[in-house]
Amino acid sequence: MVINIRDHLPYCYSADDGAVIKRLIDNEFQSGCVVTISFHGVSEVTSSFVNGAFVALLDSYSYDFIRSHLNIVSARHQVRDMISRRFRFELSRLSAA
Amino acid sequence: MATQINLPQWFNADSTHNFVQKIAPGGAPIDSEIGFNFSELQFIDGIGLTIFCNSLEWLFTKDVKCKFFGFEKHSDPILYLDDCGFFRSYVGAPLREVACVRNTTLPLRRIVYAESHGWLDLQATPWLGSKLGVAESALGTIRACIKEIFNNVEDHSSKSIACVHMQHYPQKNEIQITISDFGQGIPTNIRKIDAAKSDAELIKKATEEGVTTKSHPNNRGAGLSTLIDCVTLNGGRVRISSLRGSLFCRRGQDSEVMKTVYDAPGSYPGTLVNVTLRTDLFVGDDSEEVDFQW
Repeated sequence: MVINIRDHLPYCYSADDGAVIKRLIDNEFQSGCVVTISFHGVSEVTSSFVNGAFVALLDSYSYDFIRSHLNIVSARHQVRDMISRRFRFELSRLSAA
Repeated sequence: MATQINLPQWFNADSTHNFVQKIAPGGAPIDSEIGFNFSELQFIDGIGLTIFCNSLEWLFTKDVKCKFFGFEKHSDPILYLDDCGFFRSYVGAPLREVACVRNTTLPLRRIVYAESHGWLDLQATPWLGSKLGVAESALGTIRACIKEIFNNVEDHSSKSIACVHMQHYPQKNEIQITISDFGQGIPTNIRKIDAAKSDAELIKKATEEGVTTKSHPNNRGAGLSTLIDCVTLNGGRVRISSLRGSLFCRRGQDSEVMKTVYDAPGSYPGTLVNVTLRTDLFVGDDSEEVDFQW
């Protein structure tokens, strides 16, 4: 299943924008399917968006499940860096808890 | 009879708290009618303008009547204000027919959150691209930083409106971006989870990654820390002023972010974020799209 961000959102701005994508991912994860998210044409994302779209998945799925079922493609450096940064912090917080 | 307030001779970021101390010494407006005297003003920059306008908008919400006088002599700061549209907005008409936006400024605007992406796409991005000498596609990181500030206003200010101003200082190789709201202020929010600190220390705490008051279910306390990291990594600086505190952030010699707090005499109504970008150190975003590696 490939989800193109630009097909669903004009901007990756708010946590509510992120929630739109998370719902799509959730639908596929419930069936154990692998999801590919394409950020083609997206120039930047905010931390709120990444929290809402991806980090929130940690509330329901393990990190190992997420990274084995979620592919993120066609992403610019800023997008990749933001996703990496947010997961790195949240995982370190979870492991410290 | 109205209370008269003289604008400071030098109206910039350092004037913030002294100015608001005059208009609202106990946190409430000093009078129901205030006359602002411009005659002593010798200099005002984009931050001073934003502080002044944000304060005026806050006074209006408190039903304070504001009058303006002492600008008959068209000194440099008066001409700057005229070109920025201040007199058109607050007096009803520009002082001069030739008043027009200067090439070095993106005029101060009051922007509601729902309009912020349109303003960013259609006004701020083209202006920034021209001043930084890069294609608009290279501005993703800066755009994200500005959006983080707007998200902060939306999530934490009870009023989803911000005053925004940008100015290019070619001789200093700097661009200053100033965004201010007149909500309840960062310390008010953070005090809900840490009551023991001063306003300045609470602002500093708010910039730590992971500190959140959960004003939105998905908030995880990353916006301000991300903003500061990104801006300072490129040689820039961030200043955050809110209520009785200010925080200054820049990179030290060891490349770590240095944060300095300042306890202020006056209470700034809301939050002001000022970002200084170095045009000579700016590196645009790489637009290459590749796959993310876990």
